[in-house]
Amino acid sequence: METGRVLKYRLAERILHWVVVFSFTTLLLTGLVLYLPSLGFLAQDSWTRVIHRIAAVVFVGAPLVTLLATWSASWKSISEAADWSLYDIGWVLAFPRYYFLNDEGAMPPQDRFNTGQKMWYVIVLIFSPLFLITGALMWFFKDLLPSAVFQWSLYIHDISFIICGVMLLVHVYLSALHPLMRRQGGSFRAMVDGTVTTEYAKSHHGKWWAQLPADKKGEKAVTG
Amino acid sequence: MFGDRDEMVIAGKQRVREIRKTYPEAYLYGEKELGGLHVMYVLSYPPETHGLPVQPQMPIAASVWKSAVQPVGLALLGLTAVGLGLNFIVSRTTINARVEAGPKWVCPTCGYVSRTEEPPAKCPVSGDAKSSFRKTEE
Repeated sequence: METGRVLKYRLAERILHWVVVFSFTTLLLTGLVLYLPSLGFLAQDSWTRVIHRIAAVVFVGAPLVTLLATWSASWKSISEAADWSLYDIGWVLAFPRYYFLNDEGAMPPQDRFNTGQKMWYVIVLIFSPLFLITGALMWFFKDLLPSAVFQWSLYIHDISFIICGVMLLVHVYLSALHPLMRRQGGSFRAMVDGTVTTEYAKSHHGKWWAQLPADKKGEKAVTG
Repeated sequence: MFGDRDEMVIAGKQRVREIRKTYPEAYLYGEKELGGLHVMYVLSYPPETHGLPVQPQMPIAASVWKSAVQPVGLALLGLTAVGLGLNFIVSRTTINARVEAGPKWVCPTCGYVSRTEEPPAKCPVSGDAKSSFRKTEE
C-alpha cells in the first residue's frame, strides 16, 4: 500500500538519540564489568574506567549541547513528554490488549509521544541527573568524600543502572522486536530519517495528527 | 613486605612475638578484622592508640548493596527478559491466528497468495494489477 510519510522526529532529536544510544550502551557495558564480580577481571589495568569516563562526558555533554543549540524545540519536546492526561490512563488500560492481543483499536488516540514513550522520556530525565551527580562525586571528590557518602553514591548509581537497564530492554523490545512492530516494518526508520507513514501517524498518534498543520501532512516524504 | 597472605600472616605474627619483649602490647592488625584485611600492620600498642578502629564494621550502605541490590538487580533483569519473551510468544500467536482468519488474496495468473487486508498494488510474481486479485475467505 503506497502512502506518504510525515516527519515525526526532528534532526536534532535523531542525532541526540543515536549519540545517547552509543554513549549509554558503552557506559552500561563498562559499568556491568564493575557490577558483576564474575566480569571483574575485564576491569584490570582500569582501561574500562577510562572508557566509562569518556562515554560519560559524551552522555552528559550531548543533551546539554542539544538543549542550548535547539532551545525552544527542546523545551517543546520536554513539555510534550511532561503533558499527561486521561488519555494516558487509557493507554495503560489498553496496554495488555494492544501488546498481547494486538488489538490496535483498543488504544485511545495518542500525542506525538505515546504514554509509554513519555514514561521512558521521564525516566531518562530523572535518572540522567542522578547518574551525573553520583558519578561526578565518585570521580572528582573520591578522596574528599566521607566513605558513607561514597557508598551511597555508588548505591544510587547502581539503582539508576538497574532501572534504566531494565527499561532499555523494554524500549528496544517494544520499538524494534515486538511482533506488531515487525509487521509494520519496525520503527527504525522513524529514528533514521525521522518519518513515519501518514497511515501510522493517523492510527497510532491520532491526537498529534489532528493538530498537525496541513502543510506538514504532505503525502510526499518530508525531510528536515 | 608483599607476598601471599598466609605467608604474610606468619611473618607478621613472628615479628609481633619478637617485639613483644620491648612492646608487650604489640599486635598484628588486619589478621582477623573484617574477616581479614589485605593490608596488615604490626602495631607496637593496641589499635586505638594508633587511631585505628578496634572492631571495624562495614558501612550499612555497603552491606545493603552486597546482600540486596545486586541479586535484586539481576532478578529484575531476568524477570523482564522472561516477561518480554512471553509477550513475544503470545503476541506472535495472536497475530498469526488473525492472519489465518483474515482474507486471502490469490493472483489468478500465477497462484501467488497474499494474506493481507488489501491485495498488493501489483503481483510480485506475474506483475498483474491489484484489481485482478481474487478474494477467498476461509
